[in-house]
Amino acid sequence: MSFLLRCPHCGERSVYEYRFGGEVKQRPPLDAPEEEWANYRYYCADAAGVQTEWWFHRDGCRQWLQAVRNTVSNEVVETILAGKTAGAR
Amino acid sequence: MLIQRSALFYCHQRAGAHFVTHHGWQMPDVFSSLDEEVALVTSGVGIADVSYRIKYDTRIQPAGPGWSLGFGHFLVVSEPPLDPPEGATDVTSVYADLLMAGPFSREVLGKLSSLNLSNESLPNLSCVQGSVAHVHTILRREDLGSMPAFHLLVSREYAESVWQIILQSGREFQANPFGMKALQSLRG
Amino acid sequence: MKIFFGKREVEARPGDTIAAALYRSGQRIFSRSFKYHRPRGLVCAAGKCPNCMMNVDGVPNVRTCITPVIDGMKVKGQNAFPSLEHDGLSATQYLDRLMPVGWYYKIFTSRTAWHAVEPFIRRMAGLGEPPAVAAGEYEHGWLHCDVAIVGAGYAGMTAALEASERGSKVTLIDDQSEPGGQLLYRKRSRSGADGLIERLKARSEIRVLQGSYCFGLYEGNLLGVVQPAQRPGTAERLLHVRAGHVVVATGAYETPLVFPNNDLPGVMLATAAQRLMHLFGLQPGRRAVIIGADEDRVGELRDDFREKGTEVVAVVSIEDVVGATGGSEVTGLRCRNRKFSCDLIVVCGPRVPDAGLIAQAGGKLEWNQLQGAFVPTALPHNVSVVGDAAGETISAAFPPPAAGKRSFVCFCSDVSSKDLCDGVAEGFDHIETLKRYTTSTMGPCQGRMCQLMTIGICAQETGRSIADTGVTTSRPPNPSVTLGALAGNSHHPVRRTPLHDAHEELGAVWLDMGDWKRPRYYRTAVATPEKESVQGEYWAVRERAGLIDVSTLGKLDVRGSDAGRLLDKVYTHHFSDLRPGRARYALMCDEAGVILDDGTISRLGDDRYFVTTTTGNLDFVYQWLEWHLAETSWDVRVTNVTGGFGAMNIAGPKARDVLKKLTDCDLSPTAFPYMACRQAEVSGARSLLLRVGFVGETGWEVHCPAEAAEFVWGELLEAGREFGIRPFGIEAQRLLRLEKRHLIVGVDTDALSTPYEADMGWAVKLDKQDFTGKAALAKFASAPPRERLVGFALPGTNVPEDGCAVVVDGKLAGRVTSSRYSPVKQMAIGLAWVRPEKAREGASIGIRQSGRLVPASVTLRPFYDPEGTRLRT
Repeated sequence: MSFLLRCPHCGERSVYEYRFGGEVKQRPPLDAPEEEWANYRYYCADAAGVQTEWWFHRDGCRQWLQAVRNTVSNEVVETILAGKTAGAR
Repeated sequence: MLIQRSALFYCHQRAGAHFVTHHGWQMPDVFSSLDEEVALVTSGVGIADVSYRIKYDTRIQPAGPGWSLGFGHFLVVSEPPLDPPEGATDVTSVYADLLMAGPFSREVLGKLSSLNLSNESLPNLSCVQGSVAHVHTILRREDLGSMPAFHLLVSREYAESVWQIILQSGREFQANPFGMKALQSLRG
Repeated sequence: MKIFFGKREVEARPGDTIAAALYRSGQRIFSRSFKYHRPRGLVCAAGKCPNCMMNVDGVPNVRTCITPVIDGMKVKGQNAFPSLEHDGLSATQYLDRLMPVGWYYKIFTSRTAWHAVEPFIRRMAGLGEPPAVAAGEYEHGWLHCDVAIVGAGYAGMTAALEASERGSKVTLIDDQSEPGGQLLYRKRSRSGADGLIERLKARSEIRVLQGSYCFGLYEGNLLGVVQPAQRPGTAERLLHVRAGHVVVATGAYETPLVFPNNDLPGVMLATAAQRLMHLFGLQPGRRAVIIGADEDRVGELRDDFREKGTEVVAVVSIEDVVGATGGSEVTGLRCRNRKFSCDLIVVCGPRVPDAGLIAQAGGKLEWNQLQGAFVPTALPHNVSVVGDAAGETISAAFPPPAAGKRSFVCFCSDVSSKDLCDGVAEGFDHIETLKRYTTSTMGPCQGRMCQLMTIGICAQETGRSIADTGVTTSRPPNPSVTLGALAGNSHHPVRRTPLHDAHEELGAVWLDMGDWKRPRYYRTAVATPEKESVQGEYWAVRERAGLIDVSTLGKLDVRGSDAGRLLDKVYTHHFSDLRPGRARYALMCDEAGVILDDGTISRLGDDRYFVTTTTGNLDFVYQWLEWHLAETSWDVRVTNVTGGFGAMNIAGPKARDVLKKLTDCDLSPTAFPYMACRQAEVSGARSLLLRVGFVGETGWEVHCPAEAAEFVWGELLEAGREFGIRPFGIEAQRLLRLEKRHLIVGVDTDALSTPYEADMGWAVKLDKQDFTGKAALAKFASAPPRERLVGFALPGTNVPEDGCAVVVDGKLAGRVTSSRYSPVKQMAIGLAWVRPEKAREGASIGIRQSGRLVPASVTLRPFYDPEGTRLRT
């Protein structure tokens, strides 16, 4: 794996500079049923296709970003600095 | 009287440095001789320890030359003294500041880092962050006249390790440390 | 120039490769084959085949045909006993009936038998031996360019000039020592190529890497390139070349034809003969037979041989060939009707586009019947292929291989046409399984010499077309790469605390913790054993004062109006209600309620906190905090200030007396109680003082600017001299904390440990609105625990090792996580996970210690100062 990921701040860098942070998921409300919490904690969709993921630019600006990546081709469709998106957790 | 030393004090001592107190820090003044150090830098590559420089981490765009660390995140680096910018965190002690200079500094850095160091990608006075010798580094190009020069800011605990690998990788270009005197002379 | 070949001195001319110099000196056998130890000579002379591999200056498997001579080189043959000329093991070729394809699977079905013979087989079969010491300093390097071109032949040079003239930054990679490719040794190769090499050389903007081979084309247009040694004392350099666009101009290479004895020294490819003649001025032989059908090609060769004074005895077509004759060198060629006597057989083999890089990068290779070649069709993004590698000038029918007789297909591992036929007959009829079973195409040449013929034979034997048979998968590295080049230099970053040299001076014995160096204990003036040193340090802390470097603790400066809110969210305790000047133990859990990290959090001001983390978890905690901030608009700034502070813990009944001498700060128990923090000067250094007690005595953590740390450390030791202060290391600290039953995250806890089970429920505040892990922890709070972390003690000095099993009623019931001999208790103590019913004061458990079951009793209280009075005084 040696594809390039564009960091919104640092530019295009090798994927080795990043730490993978898993799929972007919605945290369930505190009183959600245990099954929903188990899904959030332990399961991932693991899509064969496009999914949105967390990446941390460890060797660069040390910020979290979200990448929309095709898991089959490793084509990175889009990267967004996480702070710039709406949506609560 | 408080003694302040950079992370490389003993490294310098082992290399035969002659020390001088610079803004309260014991810094190497001369290693071999002024002329020799200047000659080695201008013909090959040299490296100086300028860790005494003041550094502030701030989220407010500084008025002067700031180094961009992220969106709305800057580093202010300056020769002492410097009044603390509003709301900034003092990180002077956090980072060792190594200055690599000389016509072959790019070649040496190119052996330790995957960063693109070309003139187009890293013009003078610009700043990037990347891994140098497996250590997170804030790299800023600050040419000395027409000679390429780079400031490498690494977390203090890594300083000796990075210093040594730079000297080792620079052996083919006669890499050597240079002191405050040579630095002043090179800065002109 | 001279090189040493075994015991022989060999003259070399400037521009010679090692193989060329040896050939000129009359050497014809260059290696012994892998399995049968048959003599092998030059076949490709282009670095594509395995035949010329030798040991050069200690480095095994060097392709001598493309390695330039350096004066004084020491060259040795490989895999030959005793010598290349007389290899006793060549007798094995007469035993080939006993060693059919896959013979070791078939014969050594018993494990014992295999283990008995394996060392011999490994010694007999094989390539060079790994060097005992590295050949020099290996290095890595990185290069960025707009266009990277692999191959500096006609097509590559043209592409490089075009791209450069358009303004692109170009890197040209070529595995030969001079650019030019075929232009250098084939007179009839191209028209319109005049002056191309000169133009390339004149264009200084193009970065040309000669003698460098590209072994892999990876995702994102990353090229792995091995560059030869750049200066004496160094070894190869591995370049990571990142290119916007990659042009594969690797050309085509000629491959051998299959006929009996086709591997004898003296049978070589036409291009090899031309290389020897034109690049090195050699006469490859005196009497040559040419096997080839193409009139142009044969005419070209006739011209070349005429010039060199080599007599062309005959030109025959492959269909007429019966086999070559000769012992250690070729002496003739037997054809259907006639026999020719010769010392050179020149084979015009099929040309194969060198498209391995394309296939590696995900491109497709498709069989083209007219061209008789697999040519690249679907190209990966931003990769193009030009020239012969694209199949441009290739158009020759594929000659059917003579399959029945033993003729060598794979020179690397001695796989014959018969072996392949046998493989298919045994059911390995898919090209990929046939490859794995016979190991054809899997040797150092990575299929360059044998892939096409292997496919041809597989097709023929299975009755399928070549297109249907398909091509084997090409993977990096192609060709082989030395492990040293891949590894690079041996540099590994080391983290040193600001007190490193002070420790060294004090006789520290080092312990590696991650990248950090920490004193395990200090060797006192005489060479004291570890146990004695540790005990001395231990008693200093318990009775007087001790000083330990804790600079490795992760330190985060967290500030902003929402700082407390963030800490409330990620830690289990309350922090927004912490008063400035106070500190609190901090425990961090994930959403499953598993302990992630612990530390202390001190509130320095309304909007400012100082957070410490465990040594190894700093990066994780920083990222964890940042992640929780990522989608918020909270006013919080987290700054990693770990390197900026020297931190030392002064502890012991006399700690206050020592520290008092160096600071104006009121250290009395009322003014500076347990779990309080103050900013004050210590020996003139602006410091943060934290009253904490990991080791269970009155003590302070002094955090001062790193540049002043060595000075402050020295002042503390000096001030404490009258009280008998001692520096102490990790080993004493671990013992001291164990007596207090303080756990270490990651040592006493693992990836399943929760706070309630670890007896840390007090650090979880479920009355908080919400925080990470609350959903899980709220459930755990009322659920029965699965296991509990307890203290245990057992009489005697026999300390169980970490990880020892806890046994109850003959069944596994837990494990020991830490254990030491306690000097105050005068018995072995420790922490262990046990089943919940055993987690009561005085319960008896068994600990399995080197095969014996030792009884121990459980305790839930600290072993030392259970009330914590010493800590609070």
